Amino acid sequence: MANERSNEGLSRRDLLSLAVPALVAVACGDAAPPPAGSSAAPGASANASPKKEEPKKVVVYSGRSKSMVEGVFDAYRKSSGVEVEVRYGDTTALANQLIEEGKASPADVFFAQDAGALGALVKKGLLAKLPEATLSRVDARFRAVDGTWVGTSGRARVVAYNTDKLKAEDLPRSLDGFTDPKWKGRIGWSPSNASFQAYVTALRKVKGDAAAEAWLLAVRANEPKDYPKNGPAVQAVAKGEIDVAFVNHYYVYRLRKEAAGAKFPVECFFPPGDLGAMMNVAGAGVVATSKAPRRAEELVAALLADEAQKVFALENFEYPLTGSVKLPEGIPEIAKLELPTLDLGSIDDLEGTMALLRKTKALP
Amino acid sequence: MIPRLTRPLQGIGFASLAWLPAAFVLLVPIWLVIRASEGEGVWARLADDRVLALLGRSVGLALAVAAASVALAVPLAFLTARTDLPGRRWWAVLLALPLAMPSYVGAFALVGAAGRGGMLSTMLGGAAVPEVYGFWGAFLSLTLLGYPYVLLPVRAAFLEVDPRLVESARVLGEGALGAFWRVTVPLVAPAIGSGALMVVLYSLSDFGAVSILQFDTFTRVIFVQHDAFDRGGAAALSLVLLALTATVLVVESAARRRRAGYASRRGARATDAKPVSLGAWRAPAFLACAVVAAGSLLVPVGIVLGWASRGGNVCTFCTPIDELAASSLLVAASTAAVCMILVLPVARAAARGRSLLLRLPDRVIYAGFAIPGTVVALALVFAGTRWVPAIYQTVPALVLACVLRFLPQAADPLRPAMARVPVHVEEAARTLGAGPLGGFVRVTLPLVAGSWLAGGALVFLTTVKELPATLVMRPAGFDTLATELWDLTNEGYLGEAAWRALALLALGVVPMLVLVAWTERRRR
Repeated sequence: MANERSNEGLSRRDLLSLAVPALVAVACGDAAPPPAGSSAAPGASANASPKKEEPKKVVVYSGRSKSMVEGVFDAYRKSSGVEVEVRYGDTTALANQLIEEGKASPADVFFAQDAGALGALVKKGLLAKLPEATLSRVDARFRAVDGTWVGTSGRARVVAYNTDKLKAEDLPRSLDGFTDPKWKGRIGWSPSNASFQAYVTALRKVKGDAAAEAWLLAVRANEPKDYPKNGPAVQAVAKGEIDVAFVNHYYVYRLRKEAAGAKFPVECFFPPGDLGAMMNVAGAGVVATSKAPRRAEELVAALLADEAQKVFALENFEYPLTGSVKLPEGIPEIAKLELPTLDLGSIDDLEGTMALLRKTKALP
Repeated sequence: MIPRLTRPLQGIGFASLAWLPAAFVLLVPIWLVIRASEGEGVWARLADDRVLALLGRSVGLALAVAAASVALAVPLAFLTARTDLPGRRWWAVLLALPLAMPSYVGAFALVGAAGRGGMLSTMLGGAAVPEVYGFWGAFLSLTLLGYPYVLLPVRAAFLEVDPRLVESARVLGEGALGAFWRVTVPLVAPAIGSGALMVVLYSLSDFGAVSILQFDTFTRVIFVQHDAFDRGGAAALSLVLLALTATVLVVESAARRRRAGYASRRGARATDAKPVSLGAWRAPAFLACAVVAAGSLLVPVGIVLGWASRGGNVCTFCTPIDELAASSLLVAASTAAVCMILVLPVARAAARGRSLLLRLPDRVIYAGFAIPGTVVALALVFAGTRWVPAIYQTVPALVLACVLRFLPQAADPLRPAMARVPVHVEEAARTLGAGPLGGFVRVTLPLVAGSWLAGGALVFLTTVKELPATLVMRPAGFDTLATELWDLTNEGYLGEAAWRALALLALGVVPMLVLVAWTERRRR
């Protein structure tokens, strides 16, 4: 019976029930505290040197994972006495977060897994120019043309191959060779990965859009398996799910170390002089709205110091970009690699690459 | 004063509270519209046949997963609620745990178990195994991860059906089976629909499992846009997903015929009735539970233990597991508690409100759940930095972020439970002098407490694995089991990751023990 009572339309109470939360929301909005620029240390004195005014704290948004780089930050905390707060996350997601935060961002430094994400921030005007002294420490190929970011370690594109099934001699000297139908069903790639996209951008820049399109279509005709990330692709090579994968070199060495002596039949092939062996970088920049830009610059510089470069090289198996740090055994020296001549700072047309990847149906 | 029972609402204060969480969740569609209006050429992409085809694939996958989840979970819910199944309560705890497993871990485990060179093919002496990648892999993985969305509300419903209704049917001449079909099933059906709804939305918004199992769905299109730093595009495509969700919600509402509640009274509930004797079916029933638990829990745990055995002591700077677990527990328990409180006016308004305006909040709250967390996270960044910078990236903000994503899970079991309680029970209390809130809290709530707690358990189980909102909203340096598991898995440090994954599952036991202990307390 009670259920049959009808009540068409809105009752007064219905309307009130809407109005009340709206009012509450408005009231809360008014009461909200002012934006926190107040994070500056209360003790900061006004007329000291510029650096003294800066909070003794640097906030880093790090797209490089904690398990790889926390050691570097930890050492810096101890040596400098500066409080370093690190927000770890996915490089792309953090870049999107920084863009969404805009001027309100609490971040001072952005530490990215790849140059593409740094480039995206530059386009939004969110990175400040770095001091010349920092920039000049790194080869001009591995930093932004306008000095807004600097590469901190290198990662070579390689062909990871299963050593039970293939020898290095069986592999083509260039990624062009994988357009041969004999590779059908044997290739793994990850078109959604930033490093792969950097390769396609480089290919477009060097050989033109038409050549890049032809390569993508031809490889696609060989039905490559699409892995979401480099790690699973290398694992798949190890298990023999595929014979070769286009990945970053360090995954092979790191997963081998993690396998701790268990069978891991994967090796890296660096196609000599080919774009397929191009060197990408992880890099860092200072956020334009940083409240502690000097400290932020110092932290970026610290990433180029020997101590940090050692961690990148010895623990993460990446290529150091400054100093004379030696690589672990088994990884070819950067000087011995026949790298293609390429300016990473000039490879920034991600939009064009995404359009091409969609056009060739490498991505939906 | 005698309350005026002819009013459709009992107390505007309480009813208006339903809009409080709903207004909060509206943040998501508002942000999507703002960003989508900035995107260029996005709508042209939607005209792309391939994008539409992917939308179709997403819907197909979601419906298949929902159907399989219902087929799997409803019998399990009955067995673990109403029968003399050996170890009945322990099965209830175990079978809910897959919900605490991040979908990428579930998918990796499936590849490790059934993929080429995996456990299955090794056991078969290297024999060829069926292809794990593609539709069937994604279907299997999502079903094994998502069926608890049906299990929990339906089990709660079986427990709350008044056994005297079934007895009455028997007295009136129905057979046992007839009484089951004509009395119990109609009472439980709304909970099945509610659970299936969650499975559909979960499958539509998942990216972890489908990307690893290489089955392209609509979420992939959203992520491609997101990864190209095109917020406008990601937002516009998310709006499409939201429109699809609205359709699903309308269908579910329509399917759920509004029926009068059946009389029930405190002190008489299913747990008082004698459990159904399975007789000769005990062994097969036990085996069925064991098979599902093996597929959804034992195999993944086995694979993860395999990772653990590879050692690989690489974690110089990892946070100790007990600290991680404490952080996860803090966030998950707070989120569950807040959701359980906020959902009360929402579910009550949905069950009792006769105007659309009052039933709407119960639908609006799904907006945060139905689109990928990575996109929701950006909406939270937008709101946090602009409107409440003082709490941006603090634990309370993190809890609110999780509430925004998972609130509908608390409503999932509660809404059908509220519908089972006849409105006149509460009205009777009001004639006896109880206020609107008092009548609800003292009369209705005790009758649906099991479902209410089941909703809290669902929220808890999914919050422990929450990642995207946690990554943007946590205080710097605040690690949870889920964040560190993700960090280590990303770098391929599976040996260390394994223990975090197992700790996640172990943490999932907590709410399930509370839930089972509460719902079974009368039996002893």
